[in-house]
Amino acid sequence: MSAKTAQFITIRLSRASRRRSKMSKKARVAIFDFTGCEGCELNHLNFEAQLLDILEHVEIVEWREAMDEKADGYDIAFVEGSLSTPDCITRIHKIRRKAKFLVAVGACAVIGGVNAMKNTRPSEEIREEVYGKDKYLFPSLPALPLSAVVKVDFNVRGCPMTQIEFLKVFTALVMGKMPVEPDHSVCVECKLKENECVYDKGMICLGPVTRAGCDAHCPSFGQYCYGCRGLVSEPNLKAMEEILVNHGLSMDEAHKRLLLFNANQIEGVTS
Amino acid sequence: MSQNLEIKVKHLTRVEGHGNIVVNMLEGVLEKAQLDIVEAPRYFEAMLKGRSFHEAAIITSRICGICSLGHQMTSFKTTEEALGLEISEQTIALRKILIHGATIQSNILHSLFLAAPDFLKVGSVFPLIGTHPEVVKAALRMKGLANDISSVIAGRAVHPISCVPGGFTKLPDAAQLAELKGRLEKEMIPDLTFAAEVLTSLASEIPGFTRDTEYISLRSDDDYALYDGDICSSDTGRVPDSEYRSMTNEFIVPHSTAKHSRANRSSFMVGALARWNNNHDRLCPEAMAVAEKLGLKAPCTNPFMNTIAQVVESVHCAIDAIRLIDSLLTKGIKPELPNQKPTRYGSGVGATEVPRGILYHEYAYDRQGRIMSANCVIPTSQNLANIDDDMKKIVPEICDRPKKEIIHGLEMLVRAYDPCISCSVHMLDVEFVE
Amino acid sequence: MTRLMLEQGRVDDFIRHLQAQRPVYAPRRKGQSSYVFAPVDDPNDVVLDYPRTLHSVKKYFLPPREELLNFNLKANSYGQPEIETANAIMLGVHSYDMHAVLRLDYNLAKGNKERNYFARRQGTLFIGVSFSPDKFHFSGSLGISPYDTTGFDLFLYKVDKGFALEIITAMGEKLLSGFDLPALGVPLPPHGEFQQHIYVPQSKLSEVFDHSQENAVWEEEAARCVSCGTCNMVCPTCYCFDVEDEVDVRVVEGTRNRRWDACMLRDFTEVAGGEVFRHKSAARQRHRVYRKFKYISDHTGEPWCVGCGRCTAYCTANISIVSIVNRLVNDYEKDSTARLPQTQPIIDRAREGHSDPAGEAKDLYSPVMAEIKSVQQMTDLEKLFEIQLPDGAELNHKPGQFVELSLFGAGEAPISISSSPAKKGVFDLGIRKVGRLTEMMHRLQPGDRVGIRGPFGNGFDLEKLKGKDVLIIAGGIGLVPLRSLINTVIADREAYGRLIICYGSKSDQELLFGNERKMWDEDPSIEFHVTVDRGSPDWTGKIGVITTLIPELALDLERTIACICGPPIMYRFVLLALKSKRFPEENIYLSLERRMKCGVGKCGHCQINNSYVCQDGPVYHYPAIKGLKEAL
Repeated sequence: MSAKTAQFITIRLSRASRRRSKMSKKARVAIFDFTGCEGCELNHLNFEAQLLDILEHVEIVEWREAMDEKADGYDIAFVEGSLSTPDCITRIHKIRRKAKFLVAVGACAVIGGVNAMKNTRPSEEIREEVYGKDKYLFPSLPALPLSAVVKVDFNVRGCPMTQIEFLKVFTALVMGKMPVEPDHSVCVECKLKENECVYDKGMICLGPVTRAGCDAHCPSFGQYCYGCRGLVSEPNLKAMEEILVNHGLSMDEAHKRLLLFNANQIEGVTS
Repeated sequence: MSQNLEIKVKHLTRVEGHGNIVVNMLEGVLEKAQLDIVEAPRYFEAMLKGRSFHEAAIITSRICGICSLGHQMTSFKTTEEALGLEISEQTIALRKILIHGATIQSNILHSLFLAAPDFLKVGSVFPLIGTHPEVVKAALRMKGLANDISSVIAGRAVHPISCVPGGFTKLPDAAQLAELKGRLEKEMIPDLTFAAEVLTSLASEIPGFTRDTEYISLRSDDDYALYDGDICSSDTGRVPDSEYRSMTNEFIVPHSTAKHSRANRSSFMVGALARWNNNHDRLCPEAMAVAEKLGLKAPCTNPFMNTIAQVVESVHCAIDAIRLIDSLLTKGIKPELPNQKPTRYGSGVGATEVPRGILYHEYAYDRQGRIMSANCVIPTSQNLANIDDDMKKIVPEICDRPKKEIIHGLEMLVRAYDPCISCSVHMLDVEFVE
Repeated sequence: MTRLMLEQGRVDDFIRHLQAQRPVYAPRRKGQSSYVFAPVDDPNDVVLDYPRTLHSVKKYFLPPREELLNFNLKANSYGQPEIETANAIMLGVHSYDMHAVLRLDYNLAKGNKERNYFARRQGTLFIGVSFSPDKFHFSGSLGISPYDTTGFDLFLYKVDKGFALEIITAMGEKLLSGFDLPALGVPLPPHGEFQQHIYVPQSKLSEVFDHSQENAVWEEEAARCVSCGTCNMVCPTCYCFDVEDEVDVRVVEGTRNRRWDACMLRDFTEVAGGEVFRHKSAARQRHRVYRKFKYISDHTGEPWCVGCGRCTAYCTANISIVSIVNRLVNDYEKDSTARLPQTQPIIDRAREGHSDPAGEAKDLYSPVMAEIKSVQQMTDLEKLFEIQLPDGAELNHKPGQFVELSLFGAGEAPISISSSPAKKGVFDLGIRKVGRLTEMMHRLQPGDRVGIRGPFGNGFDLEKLKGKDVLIIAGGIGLVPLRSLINTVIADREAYGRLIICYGSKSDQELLFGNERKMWDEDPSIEFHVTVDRGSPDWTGKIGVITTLIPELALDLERTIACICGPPIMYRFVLLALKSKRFPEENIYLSLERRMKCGVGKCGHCQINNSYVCQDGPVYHYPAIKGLKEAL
């Protein structure tokens, strides 16, 4: 805690610090991507309304998808994607060394994302299925969340990450306070909005064991929650599977639905 | 005059995904000029196998955040054909509006955020905030509105929510659609006109390179084909989408985790320029006027003009979206639930024009509505062979320039294709060419 | 009692007649099979024959999300949003939901009457409608019939061809003026039968719950429960909430927001240090059901569940509160025969609470802006702040009390007051850096302003200590609140007997209040003992956990009062050590840590069984909490 605090102090841009330093140094921000769909990165570019405000507080020093420049160090590194090749492991260590704060952005970076579904089967089998005799041509690892390899300071969850939540983490970092990460179910937010329960529409939903923070966005648009934000701490998965089975899924399908985004947490990483 | 040239650009910037440019010239002989795709393979096939039809689009959407709507639309069409799900006219109209929004969004992102810095000789869009604030603000406004179309109709722009096989889980109300229409008229059209003017003033920065190639896009009788149509080649004409394999012929090359494609020649091009070449007669007059202003004439064999074709097409999308909303408002939004009761369990093919070209999905379902096998052919993969062929032609033409300039030229060329590398390494079905 | 006939065909006209007077809220369909209360636009949308709405009308008085304050970070100032009195007509409310409103009135008035709730609640008129019990309703067992008109101004009984309308209050009668209805000529038909029953009255339930803490049903139901919190979120009598600050992207303005919270959630009781006080799902389930049938009911004599059936109807795991209660009843009294529920008069006290003009509703959540006068670094992690209230006002606290410290953008946290009331003009807060708020607090400097609410809690009862030997046992930052007590004793030294201080810390670097420790050590009237778990090379004092100090103490057991404060884990061992000295339990006082979010007995986070730590604690007489499973 204290080491982190010390780092905080160096990047804070709070009122008090500005007053003391008489200058507002902008936080240096870098954005990186690993294996994923880059939808979270696109969502950075989708801050149409806030982008100019954001740039008041930060200087973006490296971002391959949007600019040519490279940087030697940064206050905050936002990292998207899961780690799935030996090269990824080398790169993330390098980023960690250069970054004061490392924020995992999106389901792939935080929990492995849909990429981790492949981890539930032996890698040899999958590679053979896809590449045949050339299965050793391209090295591949199980899809790992960043936290499996390096220390991650904060998570911005979701597939894709939501802009609102990203901005929450962003403003918290700029203010020099710890962002809050909810650890309760999507049902809470769904009920706050007084949505009709997805189960009452004859559908199934993973909201009961999925971490909140999205404001129950999918159920609010008539869709079920497929668990992209990861599971709450200490989820009762046996009970969740029973609920799914009681609402019409086979045990096998219930299990598969739960694995969609959460294979790493549920099954552990296989290789 | 450089007789020996060795170029390796690792992790090309301002493109989606990870690719390297590799060029080797030894004593004036070009040995290698290619785009290496080094993005990690993602094994989507293994993920799709055994999954319910409810999940097909949720999973394939994650192949690419940039093209997520396109993947979803193609996935729905495929699933609906395979399971015999009828959809309503209202659903089709809403999907077309969504595609227009996604096309504008992606085209603006590419032309103004990723490609325009090249014309203005800067490394990213950020310096333009200071030097060209009006352009950046207009671009942000257009992107914002294009995304709002998706947010209002489908819940969000990246990995949309409420569009599902058979229809929509939640419908927009008339007031929301009317507001979108108003904003398209009052903001989008003037902003696009302004963007076209800006690009006209930069036209001289677009390289004059040309190479004749085969252009493939969808084509339909009554529409500038985006949502639906036959496969149309500039060389051989129209075939139904079920014959997509003969029009793509995917094969593996060692330097790329993404597969390459060919049809009637060694390579072909898909995307906005291919659509322009094949379908310019279906564009609305407003878009044609902008094309004329920007000096885009059919047929156009300069791949750098792809960026210009994107802007022209965006004008058409905005005008057509307004028309479609008008028609929906006239008929009234009728409440309906998605039709998700399969009438058969078979296989289906879906083809949709996404911003970077034609996207094909093919699934086979078992009797429980679970996917047995799947195949996706991605536009960027289809373009990769064409990019390599372009590089092989352009390198000798510019090899006497300073190395930095050569590199910049090659980067611009690759960027002009607006490649989407995440998509291209999805690694679904693979057929090996012996 | 006059009953009038409202024909089905005139219902729309009736609603329009109401709309002409005030805004009308009524149930309407939502989604495929649900109903919600919503503002009425078109009378055609109103559905009066419905099983239950997703939320009760509670949402209009205690909104799911509510802005408490809006603040400006640059100016370090805040304002309050205007609270709009609904001044509306709630049409089509079921009797159990009306009873739920009356229970909320009680809870939100008890102790501290909350302005936000009552400002909204004031002036609302209620028009009830009878319901046909479905497979989830069981309000009949709790004394609430479908025809119960308690709390309503008008009531609609469903009858053939429409509704029988009964005028209950003068306000109701006034609503009706200008809308002529014929008298109803026939008697009311009997209301529908309940399909669900709890077979004993509340008076009996209290006894059952006295013996049900250990029942196997809690673990059994927990095995099926996913702790999603839905049962709390849909409950019409739940009122717990959480508060969080949100800041805009320019980091200039923000809001302090509260939202409904749920005691079934794992993080509900989590404190900054990471302890979760009801860690097991079974313990949370037990707490929820005890809240509904025991804790509050023991004060009021009424069940705090109204039998709406929502928690069961919306539970995806099909956990039934009725089954749980009946199981407890059966297990408690195997031979009990099914008894008809006793109907009891309902919650007059709550009605008084709501209409009592003497009870003034107060703004409970606005801090006063106080100034930091000095900051002293005590250890790597702890700083001591001197705080001055505006105009040098005194805090007037007691040793052992706490304040809610408020930093805009970071939120609020309960902080023990560390100075003695004898210190005038300023008060001390000793703060360890453990969370977001304390991180930010540590960066502030003299002259910066912070928000203060309080003092809260009971504090130590000095009258009980006077004339006695005072034994202080402090572990880690437990010394912070106890320092207030120590200095109070020192300031009035003759009033007390011996002052014995046992202070333990993880390491000598983490020992607090260096200067004062030296004074205590040197003061012959104080017996001061220090020990550390791990000493640095130059530490010459004792090494060992705090309990190693206790056996050596020579105490007059009859006249010594022990005052203990430390990390949760410490209490158990200290109590064992005292027990082995035969230290009398009735001479022990403990100060407990809990997540005290609001400080005014409303948010629910700090509750231990039926006790709100922020109101009844944090200082507890040991015998009073000894039996409580969750306390220690």
